[in-house]
Amino acid sequence: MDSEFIALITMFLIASVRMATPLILAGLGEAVSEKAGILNIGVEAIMLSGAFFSFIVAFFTGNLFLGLLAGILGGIFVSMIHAVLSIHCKANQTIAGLALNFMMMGLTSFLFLIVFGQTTTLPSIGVFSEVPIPLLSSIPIIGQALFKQNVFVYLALIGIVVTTVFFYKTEWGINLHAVGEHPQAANSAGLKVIAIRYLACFVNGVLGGLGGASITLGQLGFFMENVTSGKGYIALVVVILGRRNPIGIFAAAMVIGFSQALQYNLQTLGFPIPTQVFTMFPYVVAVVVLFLSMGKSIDPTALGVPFERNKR
Amino acid sequence: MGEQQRVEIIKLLYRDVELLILDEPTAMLTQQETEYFFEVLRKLRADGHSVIIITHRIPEIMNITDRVTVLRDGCNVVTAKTSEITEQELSQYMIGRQLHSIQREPIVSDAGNEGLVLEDVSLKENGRERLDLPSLRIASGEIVCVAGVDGNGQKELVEVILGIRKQSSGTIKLDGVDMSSLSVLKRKKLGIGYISDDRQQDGLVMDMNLTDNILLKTHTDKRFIKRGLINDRLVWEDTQKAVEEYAIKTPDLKTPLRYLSGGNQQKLILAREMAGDPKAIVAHQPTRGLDIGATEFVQQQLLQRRAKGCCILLISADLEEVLLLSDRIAVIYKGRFMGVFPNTKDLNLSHMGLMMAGRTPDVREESL
Amino acid sequence: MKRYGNFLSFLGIAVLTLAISILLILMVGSNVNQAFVSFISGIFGSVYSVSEVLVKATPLILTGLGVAVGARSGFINIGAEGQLYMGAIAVTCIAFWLHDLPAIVMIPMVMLGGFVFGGVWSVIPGFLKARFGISEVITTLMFNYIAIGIVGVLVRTVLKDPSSSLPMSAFLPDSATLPVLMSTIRLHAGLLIALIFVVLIWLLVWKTPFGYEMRAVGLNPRACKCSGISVYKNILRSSMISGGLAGIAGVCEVSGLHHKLLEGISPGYGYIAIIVALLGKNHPVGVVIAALGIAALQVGSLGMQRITGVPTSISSIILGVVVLLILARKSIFRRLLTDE
Repeated sequence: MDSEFIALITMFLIASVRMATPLILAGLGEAVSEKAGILNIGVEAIMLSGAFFSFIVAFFTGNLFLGLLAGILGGIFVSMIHAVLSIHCKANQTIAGLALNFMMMGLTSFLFLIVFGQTTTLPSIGVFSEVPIPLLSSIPIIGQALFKQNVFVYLALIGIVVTTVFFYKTEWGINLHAVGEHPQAANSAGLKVIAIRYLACFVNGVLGGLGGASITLGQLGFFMENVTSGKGYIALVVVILGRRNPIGIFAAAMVIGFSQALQYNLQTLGFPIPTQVFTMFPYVVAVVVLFLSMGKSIDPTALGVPFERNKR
Repeated sequence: MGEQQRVEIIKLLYRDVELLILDEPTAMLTQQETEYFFEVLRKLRADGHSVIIITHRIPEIMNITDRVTVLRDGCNVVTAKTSEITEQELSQYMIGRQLHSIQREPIVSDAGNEGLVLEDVSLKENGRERLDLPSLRIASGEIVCVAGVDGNGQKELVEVILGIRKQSSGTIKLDGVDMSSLSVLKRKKLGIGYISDDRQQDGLVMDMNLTDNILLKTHTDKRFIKRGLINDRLVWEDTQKAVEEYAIKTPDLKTPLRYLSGGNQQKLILAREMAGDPKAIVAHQPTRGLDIGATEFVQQQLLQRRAKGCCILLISADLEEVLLLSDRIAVIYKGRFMGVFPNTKDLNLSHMGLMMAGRTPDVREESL
Repeated sequence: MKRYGNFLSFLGIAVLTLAISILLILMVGSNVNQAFVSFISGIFGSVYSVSEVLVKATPLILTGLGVAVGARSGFINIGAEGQLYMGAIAVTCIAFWLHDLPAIVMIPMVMLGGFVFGGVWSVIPGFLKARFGISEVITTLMFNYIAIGIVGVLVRTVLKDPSSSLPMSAFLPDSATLPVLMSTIRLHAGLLIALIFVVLIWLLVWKTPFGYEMRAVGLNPRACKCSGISVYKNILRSSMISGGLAGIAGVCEVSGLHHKLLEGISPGYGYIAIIVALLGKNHPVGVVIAALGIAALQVGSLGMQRITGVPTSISSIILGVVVLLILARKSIFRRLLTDE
């Protein structure tokens, strides 16, 4: 094979993995949450919160790892509000998620303006640098894409492995599944439905916050209003496309990451195709996949339904 | 359902509990299963476990308990040793007044109507056979009762008659009209009243008020619609009449059904389904979960309809009710009729119980 | 206690929201008094500011009404944004295609077109839900992005105004534009159209057998099935109407306000519509009140930013907080709402 072609592929793969990383992290979190029966369309808010707080802390302490930690806490903050509303208050989960999106969109840009004022140049920080893993990173084509990346990519990869094992090989995964499919039965079998759901929301916050932080601390090095620009919604699509299966989520996120990488490259090369074609791409694919999988119910039975112990 | 209940119970026993609280544990069991279950409870008692059993079945109370407490309207009416109380006393405590027995009149003569006729109805779902019934005719003025343990095709049977599920083969006729391919609404308009076993899920919209729940069957009736719009006043008048006729206790007609008692909810269903003198009534566990007063009201209503020449299909798991109301009894097991008997004095109850459990008793041997 | 409990709990939410707003204003370091004065005068200060509230309320009423109709039958429509864009595409295409028609024919034509485009965009997720039980929440959301993408592509390709370098269409023919209600302001006949639909939808949902079926399906589909009311048909119908109304909102925005198709004609009206429907309790009159309230909040916060420098994003925070508080109302004010 042509060495130039291989270089091109390698480059695309590296870019795709970078684009996919926030989606993988947030998607895994959402998958855990949805498996337990909590549909949180506030992923955008979780990511925005993670992106904002990680940046602020990293900017003022100069420590990226403290920033990363703050991003996780920011994500947990949002996901736990959603958890309390949907589990304790038995509120409509969709509307709660949507309201959180509004609130965090406003709050992050409000706080950002308070801290930095109206500036022409965005305050910026250095990002996490690449840490090549010896040996693995020299595998041709995929080596650099997967093993010569920053900490977020590695966290996403570890996340995939851990959640796969967790979902399919541990009793915890089965319990999670039971709580989402049939909370009443799970309850009478002695599972603590409410605690498990809170825990799932917590995990969603951690991973979503990481996903948000990976945008500011892993890619951009700055924060601006609506910096996530709908990545939270794409993460929801990734979860559907990947059918809540970690490997599926990885694949879906990679497809979307690749189309985004392609979009930027075609843009710079001056192709006459409007970039909107590529922004639409993941959604069109998702709709097509949904149509193809018609007839097979794939949603957890109790998704979005509050748990009431005394109700049959 | 019977199976599930048993598993639930076994799971509880397995956990080796100190105190066992059972809420209507025998609701889903056959006579034989109940007896066996009580044996288990007696063993538990002998081993030093405590059991609280909540039931509305007086024979069970007399059979199994040591002490009995009667609760009515949330108040403790009486607590006594079972050995020191009689069945009559107990039932008086439960209803708070004398239970007068229901008078049965002889069957109304067949007025030449064909009644409700099922011809070789069968139902297959997901490759499983749910129903496979021989022909059955319910004459006008007759109550045919389908007795059996829950989950043996009763729900499927009533839903096929109503058109909620589509039968795989066979025909269903009402007074000679083939309804097999008609929609639910058309069947109801032809004259079928339907009382479901799950009134909260199937029969009512709990968050709607009384008038709106009356509309559930009648919202397309021409008499309620003027220039395409529903005439609220007419519906209101109809509902008011129903409330008075059926003595439904409600603050007003705007109250969501959720805030009415089970008995009053059921009365509203009766009012709706019996309006317009239906030719047939399909009543699935119409007294389930009702107190004795409401149960008696429902049973009286069914008997009144019978007297007016209605064909009634009653499905009940309560043997007492079956014997009280029915002219004929069909025992159902796994979607098949094990036998159809006239309800007479010499009915062999233990045979029926065996049939409900899927065993065919050797009748000849017994009668020898 | 219970009689006043409901009222008191909402009063509590109002007080909490006010407290949070004051806190936010103080964080900026602005004068609270001045901020509120500028907020109020930003709404009622002039005929223009009042008309701006109405201009913003128009699409919110229509989309909110759409979401409310869907919600009545249990169809959670997150896709009003995309349906609005589809309506906008419809009006532009029809106006250029049939440009010779007189206004009296053209306006009903574009309305119908917008209704059909928006409706189709919503009935597809409706079909997926009714037939296969696929959650409409995610599908309608995805359809938003596709619709927005289609607009982006169209204004750069076939619908692009060749005389401009910007991605937007040429101006619509005059016959396809809605009249302005007063010469110096932007308020257009779209508001009247919205109000007509409020009355129509009220009649439809509360007074007709069809509306009855829809409401019953939303509350208990199982009971409807047992009574011979088709859940499938009613979800299809209500999702069609739901999206159709959002489509009309798109028509009004293009015909009444922008007079051309361009990207970003909706600053998230379709999402705010869900909040409009929630606050308006899915009732047409409630929707109007909620839409006016939210429009006033947004316009007022613009005035506040101009004079006191409090960022307008405060309106989005307040909106989110109000909804969260309403969702949590029964838990926060449990003591007020129960008899004991």
